Parts: sequence; structure tokens; C-alpha cells
Amino acid sequence: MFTLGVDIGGTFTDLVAVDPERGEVRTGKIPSVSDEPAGAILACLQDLGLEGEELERMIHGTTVATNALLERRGAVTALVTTRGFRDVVEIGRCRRLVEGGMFNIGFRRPPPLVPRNLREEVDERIRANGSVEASPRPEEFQSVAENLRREGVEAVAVCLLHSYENPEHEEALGRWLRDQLGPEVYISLSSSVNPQYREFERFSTTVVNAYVGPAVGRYLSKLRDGDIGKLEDRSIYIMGSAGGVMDIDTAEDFPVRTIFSGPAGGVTAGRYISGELGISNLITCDMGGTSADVALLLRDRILYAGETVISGVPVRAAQLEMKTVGAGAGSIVWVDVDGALCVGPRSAGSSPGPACYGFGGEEPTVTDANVVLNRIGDGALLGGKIRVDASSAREAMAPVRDRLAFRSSEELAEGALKILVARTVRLIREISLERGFDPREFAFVAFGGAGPMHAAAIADELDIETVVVPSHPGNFSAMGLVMAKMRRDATATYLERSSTIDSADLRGRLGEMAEGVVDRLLGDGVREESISLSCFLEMRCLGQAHEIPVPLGSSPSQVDLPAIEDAFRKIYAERYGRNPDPATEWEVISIRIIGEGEVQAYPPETWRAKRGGGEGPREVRNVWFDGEWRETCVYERNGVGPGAVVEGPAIIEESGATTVVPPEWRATVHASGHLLLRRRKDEQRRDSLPQ
Amino acid sequence: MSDNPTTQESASADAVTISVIQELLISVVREMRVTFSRSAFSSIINEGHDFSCALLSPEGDLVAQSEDHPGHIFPISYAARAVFERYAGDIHPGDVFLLNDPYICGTHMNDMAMFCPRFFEGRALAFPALRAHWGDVGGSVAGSLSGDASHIFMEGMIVPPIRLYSRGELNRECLEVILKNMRGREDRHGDLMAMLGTCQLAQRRLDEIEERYGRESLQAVNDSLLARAEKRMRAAISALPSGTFHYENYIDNSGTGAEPLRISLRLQIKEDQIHCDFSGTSGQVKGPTNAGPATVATSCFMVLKSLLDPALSVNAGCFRPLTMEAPEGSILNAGFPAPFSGASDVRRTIESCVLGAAVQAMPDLAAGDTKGAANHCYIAGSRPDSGEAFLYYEYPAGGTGALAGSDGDHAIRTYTEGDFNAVQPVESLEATLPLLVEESGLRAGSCGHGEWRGGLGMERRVRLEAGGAGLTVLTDRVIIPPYGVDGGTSGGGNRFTVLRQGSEVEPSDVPGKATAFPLTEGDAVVLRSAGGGGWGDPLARTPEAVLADVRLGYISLEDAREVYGVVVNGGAIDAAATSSARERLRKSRVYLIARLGGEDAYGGSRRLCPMSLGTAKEGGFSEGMLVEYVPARGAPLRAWVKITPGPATGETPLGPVAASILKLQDKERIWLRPIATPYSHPPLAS
Repeated sequence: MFTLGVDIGGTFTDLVAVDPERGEVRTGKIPSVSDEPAGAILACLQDLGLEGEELERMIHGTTVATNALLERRGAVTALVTTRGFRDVVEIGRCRRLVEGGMFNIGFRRPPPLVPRNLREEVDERIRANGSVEASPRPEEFQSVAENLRREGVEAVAVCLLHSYENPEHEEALGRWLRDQLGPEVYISLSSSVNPQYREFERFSTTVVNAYVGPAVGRYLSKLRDGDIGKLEDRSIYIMGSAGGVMDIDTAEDFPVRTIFSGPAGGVTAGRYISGELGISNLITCDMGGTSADVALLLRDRILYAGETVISGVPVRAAQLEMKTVGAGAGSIVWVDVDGALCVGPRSAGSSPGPACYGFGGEEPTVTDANVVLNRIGDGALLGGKIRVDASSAREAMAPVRDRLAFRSSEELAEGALKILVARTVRLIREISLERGFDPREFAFVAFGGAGPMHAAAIADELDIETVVVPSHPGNFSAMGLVMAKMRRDATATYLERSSTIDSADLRGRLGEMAEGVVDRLLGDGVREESISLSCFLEMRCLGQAHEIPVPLGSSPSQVDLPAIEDAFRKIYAERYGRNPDPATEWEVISIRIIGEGEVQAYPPETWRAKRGGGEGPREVRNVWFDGEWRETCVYERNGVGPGAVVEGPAIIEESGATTVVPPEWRATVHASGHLLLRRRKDEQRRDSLPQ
Repeated sequence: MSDNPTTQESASADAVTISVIQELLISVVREMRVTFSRSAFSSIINEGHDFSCALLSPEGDLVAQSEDHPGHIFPISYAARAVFERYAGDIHPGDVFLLNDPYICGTHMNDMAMFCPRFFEGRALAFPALRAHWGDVGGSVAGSLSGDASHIFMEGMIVPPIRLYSRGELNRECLEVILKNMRGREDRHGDLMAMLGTCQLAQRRLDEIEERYGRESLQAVNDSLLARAEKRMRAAISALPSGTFHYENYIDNSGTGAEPLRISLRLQIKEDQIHCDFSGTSGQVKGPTNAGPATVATSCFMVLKSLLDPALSVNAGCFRPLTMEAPEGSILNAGFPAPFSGASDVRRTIESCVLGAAVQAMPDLAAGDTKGAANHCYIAGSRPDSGEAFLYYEYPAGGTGALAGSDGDHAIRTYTEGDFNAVQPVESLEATLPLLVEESGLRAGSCGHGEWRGGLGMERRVRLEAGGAGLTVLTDRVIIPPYGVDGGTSGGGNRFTVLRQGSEVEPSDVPGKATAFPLTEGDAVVLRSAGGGGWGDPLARTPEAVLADVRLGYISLEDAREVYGVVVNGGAIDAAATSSARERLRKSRVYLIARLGGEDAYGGSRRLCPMSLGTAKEGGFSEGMLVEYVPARGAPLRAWVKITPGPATGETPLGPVAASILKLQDKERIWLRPIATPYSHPPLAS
């Protein structure tokens, strides 16, 4: 039986079907059809020669929530909040939260998701300690419900002050509204969506949940009813923003947790291969047509961000810590008014696309640069469909070349790639160095259509020793969906200082939460022996504004204060480069427990691509490297099996990606089938190290 | 396979190297920024991001700067220059310099600057600098900023350019003197160490860049980046008409005195250069509303760059086409012992002057003014249970100005401010302080009105639940509100009051500047930030847009009728009534005949609007009333009514500066409009 990973992106739907028993992996790629996910999936299954009956589970990465938010196409959403605070969701903390406001007198903030006339206030008040100061009156419930019905709202976010401490009023309002407005109105409570303090972030997250809820709900029910083989609800899963999988009901209740569903697959796959390769620190880079997503895996752990801002709206839900830059294969090479050579962030996308596609694109792109350098061969078939025309690429380069007086198009092309690399490098520095991690201690995993092409150059700039180009780099994210574990989270605000904290109380609270997480995982059908828990405290020095997640290990019963303090100091020093002042008190802000487990085990052999071995180069052609043409061997990825060594300069081609091995580099094929690229000098150094 | 090589000399390596190294420099500054904001102790640094990280050339020119508080841009360069002058020929590897001298840096003393020069084989290289707002630098009140300071020593400790580390050795005695003179020793030490750690990190990063690309490359790239920015700035200026443009605006008062202070500007555009001359500005004051030339330069630059080329990267190259002159001894170039707590408010008034003058050359870019003050608001007290001291500190943002084609935003950081939190989470305040926030929302009706309206300010009510505390407020644009343009009206000014047993109490005699006003249990502080100025005639706003604003609760039905002339009945626009209301409002406007030829009339710092008793009676004006001459395009000219026998009824005498601001010829008519304010200035001297 097959497990299916389906990654529906803006342009393409990627599929991976895996049968762990027979060790069979099939991959496919089709244009996305946004309205009919089930239809698209069925069509692709046909391509793969799979019958619906052969499917056992499906894990889906979706961008429905993301797109509804980015394109502001969500539901007509109302807010019910504490009297005096309806504008919190609009004012926030007076920040712009969108780039481009500094020195821009005409800057305008994106409109709020809930217009002011759909923000209802109720007379109620809960204090910071959870005590009730004023309860809402039933008449008020009535009038709120009437107003919302009259306005025809499709979704309601109920967000009251201090509800993280006492959800009583939110729950009462929620029950009333459900009853009055009926099941077709989607209702979210802030105490359920994000029970953490700081009202703006909680309210905003809850509003997003409500805003995207109906769209995600409609989509998921189409998926449910889509008759994809014999799949029942219980065997359809959705990838969450934090790289863990959730069941379809959870995704319906908490769609805000799927905002980063798309990119999460790649990072999860990265985590899997880190175990396979025995490399514990990885930087993953998914470079496609318009952008590059970068994330970090530290000692096998995915790094999580507590909060992100998406098009001006804060979302506080567990999610991968990830950065994106507008740099990819379609990025346009252009000249700014002051004569600066720039690459991206504007992209030619798939339409008109790079000039070399011959679809009418006139501006030169990164792909055109690669064609000019012959790293992509003239006449090559991209994705099996688009035939590359080198003369169009050269033609497109000419105006920029002449304007900046480059001696040749090759020099311009090579320069443009350097700038693309520099922009990506800046992003990687942001996600590593700015957090106190040295990229040299990481391996670099490159995938997506354009990742393997530029990976070695990026690694060179960062002094990274090892580049990994995984098997199936074009379908890597979909692979990650299949590999991902089920995940359940629990969070709670827990405000205590080092002088007042009581370890027995903390242990009790952790224990309770852990039990809840395990129960829910078992309910998801996870195998008990595969369950692992990670407990975190969000902590900071008294007086600091930012807390940091401090891992407490997996066993709540063993938590004690000295261990907490030690762990805090260690993480603090790692992040800030200095120890916290021993005289300063620390404080805990909140508790988080993450539980993960597998429904099905996949032995590593499952993924091993069946490759041929030891075939020689398919052709030898001139490729431009470092200012000159070099005779370069071009290989088929399928022709280089485990143990094979390919000396640079070389090009390794496969469907969906091209790997560039620069002159000073060497590629070896790992037993797992992944390509490892290293500089020859580093390899020699490695060899000469005492064993 | 290859193209025909051109015979032209290639600039290729440069173009690519410049872009690549520029990315790296941005990366270094970003890393500084993140490292510092995470490791600093003062909340105004890690929450308010009141700091700026920079890379300077060996000569002290700004090469790259972080997107934090732009108010530090010039102070960093001025401070660097002072260090170089003082220590010329005597700067060594491992030296670290520190200073906050307001008479050099131009702003309040909380802003502490650090420089960590770099060398290679005896040669000076580009180096990191950091300037940050310390939570306290000593002086008479906690936080050091005070609305009633009358001497610089009341605002803390002056640190002249000192060498804190000499060849890597810390001068412990010197550090001890600094820490002994400030509150929160641990925090101050924490801030200092965070600054040092950040600069040292940047030093290492610059070393890495040079090791990779060559020691010369960084310098060469820096030169190119500066030249590029300069060229861009000059090109933008060249597109403007050459000419001289005047504007003037006021600070409400000095804190120690109640008289308004004038900032006068003559902005000259000549080919590809702009010169800003502030002659005629009020003399330095005993109170805190003073500033230095670095603040003047920053303000001019920020506004001009915003108008001319918002995307231009900030470095010393784009400063080159700009020159400024701030008369010595004025509030813009104040000397010892003038206090500087209100320098941020001065800065914003300079900005409104530059905007008012510059848009005369770029009329399509005219925009309403913004809150115009820093809005510092502190509640300092002690917890009734433990006696432990607590400090509440917020600086609520206001609305932004309208411009042609778009309404302003509500309660948001303005374009001359970094993008940082201005208010704290209510749930965090209530969990940690003996305060209850009763309301936090948009301040309805506070927008400047117009065909496009300004953004609303915000209103926040914070109740002291137990014990006693002191309220300190340092703000401005309380009396003289942010202007509208092209006929738009002013936004509602900032206002900070105390709600005590149901009635509203003023925390000071001088509006906007209060020091440790005693609060008792149950008192609520009401913080109101200003709305942005409007754009265009309110009678030209579409009735549908007015109705939408009413529905959203941004404006009242009465405002709709009395300001916009839009009559709403039963939730719908009454077209006939609207048309007659608009006619009525249009007719009620007062136009006077401008008479040129005389001098500009001032009474002390205040521009006078001399008129006959007859004009006053007919137009409903009274002696000392704040009014504005409203030109068809651009910013209005504010003045105070002076009833005098000279002018004929229906006429207003205007001097050459006024005529230039209003673009008026003799005998042309000009709209004179009263400005409603909750406070007024002392009567005009007769």
C-alpha cells in the first residue's frame, strides 16, 4: 500500500507515492488546479499509474490558508472583544509591520482583516490573575448575535482580555454565538487558538484563524468528498506550519496552524536525511522560480518561531523558523537608476518566464544567465516540456551588458549569479549568525528547481564544507510530507520569577499537559513506542523584552530548578554570546510541550532510489566557470550510483533539477543516493586527519 | 560561443563586487541590530528600538546604517567627527570611545554613542559605531527626561568624548564614575556591554570581509556606494525648480515658559543642491526644548530623502548635496547649560518646517503633518505591597498625514520613525504593574479633515490602582496642532490629562510638559495622541467616504455635517441637505484681501495676524486667537490675531516671508481660518 505526499504549490502540484514494504517510490508533477484539489490529485495518480485502492494514507501540504491571507480573500469576519479594546487589532503596538515605511511619506498600512464596524464590544472584564471583575450580561449576548447576523458575517473571532488565564467568558460567548448563528458561521476563541498572553498577538492570530477558517474548511471538505481511492477522513492528514502532521479535524479547527504548511515539507525531509547521513546540523534551502526558503536544523531539531508577521498581520502559532528572499531561477537581472546591477526580487515567474523559454519574456533572468554560461545546455528540456533557446537568453542579456560595459554576456551572467548568491547568503546569515549559529558548522541541503544549481557557490561564500543534493530534489518537499510525524502541541502562560517559582507546581503543570498531548497522539493512531515529547519554557532575564525557548528534555517529572537555570544560561549564552548576569533574576513566561510520533515507520531503505551506477558522462561541453570556458562532463543523475565520484567541473542533470559541481569541488554519491558536494581540498584534509 | 568582446574598458568586476559587498555590509549592520536589541537591557532599546547601528569610513563618514531609529543618523557622524578632532593622531587598535555630549551630538543625553575604530598594519579602516538611548543617565528624575528641566545637569551626566578602553584596556575608574551617576547600575552596565559586544562582533565581520575580498576592496566599494548615493540625490534635486522657499512653525512652549518658540526656515534649491537656513529661529531656552545642529541635519535629511528618493540607501554620499545653517544660540544650536530633553520634539517641528517649505517645490507631494512630538509618558511609583519602585513608559503614536489620493493611517509610527512598538501589551502591563488599562482605542474625530483625511490618533486610559505615583509627560503639538495641507484641516493635537473622580485635571500649568505630577489611587491618566493633518478641501470629500467614516466611528455625525457638509439621515446621505450644508459652510469661510509691501509682523516669537476690529467682529476672531492662512496648495501659515487700528477692514497686511509661503500677490484674497485648540497661549504682549 502507498502513502501519498501531495504538495500543492502556486504553480505545480508535486506528488510522491511511497510503498515502504516494496521499497517503491514514485514521483510526479502536474500544474496546480486550485479549485479541484481532489481532481488534480486523481489526475496525477493516473500519471503515476496508481489505483486509488492502492492508497493507504495521504499527507497534504496546502497553501489555501496562506493565499487567503496574502490575497486578502478570507471570510467576512467579525470580532467580539472586551469593551474599550476593539481597536487593538487595528492599532497593534503602533508598528507598521510591513517593510517600506521608513522615509516613505505615502506609506499605507494594509487594511485590518476585520473592519471597525464588525468589531463588537461586550461589558466584561477578567483581571491578570484570572479573577472575574465583570461578567457579560445576557442581553448583551443577544444584541451582539443580532448585529452579527444582520451584517451577514461568515466567521467570528472571540478575543477577550486575559482569556489565556480564564477562558470562561470566551467559552460562554462562543456557545451562545454557535447556538444563535448556526453551524455555517465559523467561530474561533482566542483562549483555544492561542492561549498565551499579550493581547494583540493573540487577537491577531485568532482573527487570522477565523478569517481563513471557512476557505480552508471548504477546501478540506472537497478533499474529503473527493473520492480519492478508498481514503477515509481518518487517513487524510494535513501538514502543519511546525513540520508536524495533524488530522483533518484539527486543520479545520486551527487553520492558522497551516500557514507554513507548504515549506514545512522540505524542512521535515531535511530532518529525515540528517539522520540518514549522520549530519546533525543542516541549513535547508528550497530555491524555486521566484524565491528561496531557508531554514535551520540544529542537532536534528527543527527551529521553531513563536511568531511571524505575514503581510502586516502577526501570527503566533508554532511554526518553522524560516526566512524567504525573492531570489530564484526566474529572478530578473536589471539595472537600478544609479547604475547598480541587481538580481530580483522581481521574477519573470512562469509567465512570461525567462527569455530562453521563448514564451515572450524579454528581461534576462537567472535561468538565462545559467543558459549563457552553458550550465543549462542549449536545447535542454526543462521539466520535460520547455525547450531552452540559448540565443534568446543571450539576446536578453545584451542591453544590460552594454549599459554596464561588461566585456561579454558570460561575465555579466557570472556576475548576476554572484549577486543572486550574495542575496541568498545574506538570508542564510540572518537565520544563522543573527541567532548566534556559525554556518560553517552546518551542512547545506539544496533542493527545489534552482537550489542544486547554485548550492556550491552559496556554500563557498559561507565557508560551508558540505553540500547535500538529495534524491528527487524537485519533489523533496512532497517527500517530506510522507516522512513527517504526527504532532500535537500544548501551550500555557506561566508567569513566574526565579524567586517565586515552585518546582513541584511546575512539574505538576507540565505533567498534566504532557498527558493531554500523549492522549491526543494515541487518538491520532500514533504507535505508542514512537511517541517523543519535548518540553520548553519560554524564559528571559528580568527586564529583557524577548524570551527564548529553553528545552527541558522529554520527561516532565524530572524537571528541577537548577536544571532549568543551567539550560537557560546555556541557551542564553549561545544566542547572545555572553552569559546572563548571575545577579539578575530570570522569569518564565510560558510552557510549551510538543509531542510527536509515527503512524507508520519508514526504514531508510524505502527511500533509496534505484539508481544505475558508474555510467560515464553523457556528454562533454564547454561551461563557463571563473571567467573562462572549461571542458565539463555532464552526467545523468540516474547514471551515478552510490559510491560514484564526480570531479568538478561537472554538471549532473535530472528531471526537475540541475546540480552544478564547480571546478574546485567533487561530488560523491552517498549510500543513500544523496549527492554530497565538497571542496577537493577539504576532502583531502579530511582524509589526512588521524582516524 | 562567446559574444564579440567590446573594446570598451570593463567596469564589470566593480559592478558585481559592489553589489556583493553591499549585501555583506547590510548583513553586518543587521546582525549588529539584532544582537544589540536582544542583548540590551533598556526597554526603549529592545522594545522601542531607539538606537542605530552604523558602519563608518576611516574618516567617520556614514557608510551603512541599520533601519532602526533614523534620528541617530547625523548625531553619529557629528559625534565621530568630535572624537577624531579630539584624539587626532592618537587613536589605536583596541580603543573604544564613548560620548553623549548634547552640544556635540545634538539630542538628549540618554543617547550614548560608541565608536570602535579598526586598524590593519597601522592603517585606519572602516569601523562600527552604535548609538543607543539608555534608560537613564542620571539627573533629577528617573529616566532623565523631564519637562521642567532648566539646566543640562538636571538631565543627567555629560560624557564628553572619552576613551573608555585604551588599546583594549578598560579605564575602570572612568566606568565607575559613569555608573555611579546613573540609576539602574546593572542595566546601564548591561547596555554598555551590549554595545561593546555588538561593535566587537561587527569588527570581526568587517575583518572577515576584508580577508576575503582584500583590504582595499572594502574601501573602494564604500567610495563607490557613497558616490552612487550622492549622484542619485543630486539627480533628484536637479529635477526640482531652483528657488527659495520659506516656512515657519512653532514648538508649543519650552516647559519652563509658556510662550511658543518659532522655527524659521529658508530653503534654497540651487541646481543640484539644497541649503536650509534657519535664521530667525527663537533663541535657546531655559527649558528642555533645545537641540543641536546634528538634529537639524537629521531632520532636513529625513524629510528631503522621503520626498526625493525614498528607496535611496542612507550613507554620507546622499548628505553631500545638503547643507544646513542653524544660528548659534538658537534652540537649534543651543549651548551650555541649555537642557535637551525635548530635542525629539524640536526635531519633529523642524521636519514639519522642511516639509512645509519643500512641498512648495513639489506641490504634488504635499502631505498633512504628523503628531510632531515624542509623546514621552512616564508613571513612576512604588508598589503598595513591597514598596518596590515601578516605572510605566509609553510613547503612543499618532495618525499620519493625508496626501493626494489617500487617507492617513491611524496610530502608527511615522515615516521618520523606525518601526517599533510604542505601547506595551495591556496584559503585560496589568500583570506586572499596579495599573489597569480601561480603554485603548482610536481617538474618534482626531483626524485632520479634508478631501483626504488624516489618520486618527489613539486614546488610552490607564488607572493607578494602588499606592501613589508621579506622572511625567514630555510632548508638544498640544496647543498648535499638526497642520493639514491644500486646504485640509489640522489633526487634533496630543493631550495628556488626569481623570480624577470624574473630572479631567491638567497635570501641569504649561500644557504638554509635566514633571512628577502626583497621582493618587484611582486616578486615571488619559493619553491622547494627535491625528494626522488632512489634504484638500473637506467639502470636496465624497459624501460616500464621509458616510463610511461615520459608520466606522472615525468621525461623528456632527463632524460630517459641520466639517464636511454631509447630512446623514437614517443612515443614508441626504443629497439635498448635503448640497445646501456645503453651500452654507463654503459661504461662512472668511477671506481677506492680502496687502503686501510691509514687513512680516511678529510679537515676540509669534507671527501676528494684524486686523481691524471690524474684521475681527465680522469674521468672529478675537485677540490672541490662533489662526491659519490657508493657501490653495501647500501648508498653511499660522499666526495669532492682533487687533490693531492699522489695517482696513477686510484686509490683512502680509510681509514678504508670508507672501512667499502663501504664494500671494498684492490684493489677492486669502482664506483665514481659526484653529480650535483645547489650550491657548498667554495673551499677546501689547
